[in-house]
Amino acid sequence: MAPDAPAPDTAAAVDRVARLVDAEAAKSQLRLLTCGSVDDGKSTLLGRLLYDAGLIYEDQVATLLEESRGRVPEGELDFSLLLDGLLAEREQGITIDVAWRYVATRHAQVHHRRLSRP
Amino acid sequence: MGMNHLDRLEAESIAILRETAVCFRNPVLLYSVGKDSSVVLHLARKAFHPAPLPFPVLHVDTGWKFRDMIRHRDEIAARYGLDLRVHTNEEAARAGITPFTATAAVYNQAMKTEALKQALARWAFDAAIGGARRDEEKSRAKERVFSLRTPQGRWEPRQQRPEFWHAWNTHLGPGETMRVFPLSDWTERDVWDYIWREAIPLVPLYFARERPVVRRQGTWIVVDDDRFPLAPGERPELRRVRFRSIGCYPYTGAVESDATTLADVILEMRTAKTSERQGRLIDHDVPGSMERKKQEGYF
Repeated sequence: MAPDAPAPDTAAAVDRVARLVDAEAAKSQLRLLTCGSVDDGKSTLLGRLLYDAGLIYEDQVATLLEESRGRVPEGELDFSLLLDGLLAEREQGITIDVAWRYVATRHAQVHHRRLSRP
Repeated sequence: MGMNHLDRLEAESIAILRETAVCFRNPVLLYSVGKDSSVVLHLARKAFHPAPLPFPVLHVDTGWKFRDMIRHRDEIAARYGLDLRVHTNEEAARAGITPFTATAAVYNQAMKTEALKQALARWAFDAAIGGARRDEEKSRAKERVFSLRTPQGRWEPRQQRPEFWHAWNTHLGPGETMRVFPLSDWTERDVWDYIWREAIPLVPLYFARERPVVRRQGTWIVVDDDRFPLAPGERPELRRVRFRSIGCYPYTGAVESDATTLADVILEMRTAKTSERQGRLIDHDVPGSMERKKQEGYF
């Protein structure tokens, strides 16, 4: 065993992880993009999907809540901020550039692409 | 049998690495010793196998990395016969900039951003390949695979080129350089699954062990050497901890964990409630801090 190698895995853990990894890799892939007019909620819809899919970690939700202050009613989340990550986008409340986000669901890997050109 | 999800990601990354080798005069692979750059290194070795890597490997050493990281880096470089270049911002080190004497912003700017720019200039690299992923952070979600830097090494998020499908634009104007991100489309889960599938060697810091820790800013900091200033009478305690993300030891928070093996780590990750960057004290200094750092040329 190389000096840097971690402790050996138990057969049960190996089997469990092998099945998890195989199942994940076998999923089909779906590309998703939203179309609509300005302020229709394209970013918000995709942000909400990320959130509902449980893809946003607790510390990220806490940050989002902080950042949503003054943009939406107190205590609510501005889901568009999950996609509009640039400072200029936040200041102006619009999407300037494409963002790539990735979601894994039970059945498919969903690749989000929010493309917006004025 | 068609290609599965990991096969597709691997193929895309290998194509990006080969494109980089072909299109640039003097590319370099940034090796931070972390899990992501370990995956990039593995992909690069596969991309050119059986030939050796067609470019050198660069480690920007702040002087405050975990000792385990340096040991692992040197072992991997020797095992794979890498052309390893190491660069430290010696000027800043001599000026006394340390994690304990400077703010996180000043330290980061000097020891990481400036150091990287110095290293790129020192060896005249025109493309730097790194392991950043779009799912890591909101400004990284905006990053191109082939991402241009100005002659001053700055990222201009509002001036990014279109990048449709796999039609890469690798053109450089005078003085410009490229940052290349072969793992753009990978998630943290993909990285761990691929490490599992390919049995990629990792630095032991990712696995839980008893380590001497102190509590700082709501997280566990491993006291990796005797330069760490302890409060009078303070003694590090031994706790079983591991890291989800690694960097400079005074800035890198550990989590308590019993995941001593790769299978344990993968199973634990599947139930994690916080993001991998949470342990990085350096990312949270001001709002939009990653975007600002990236604009200045941070990786």
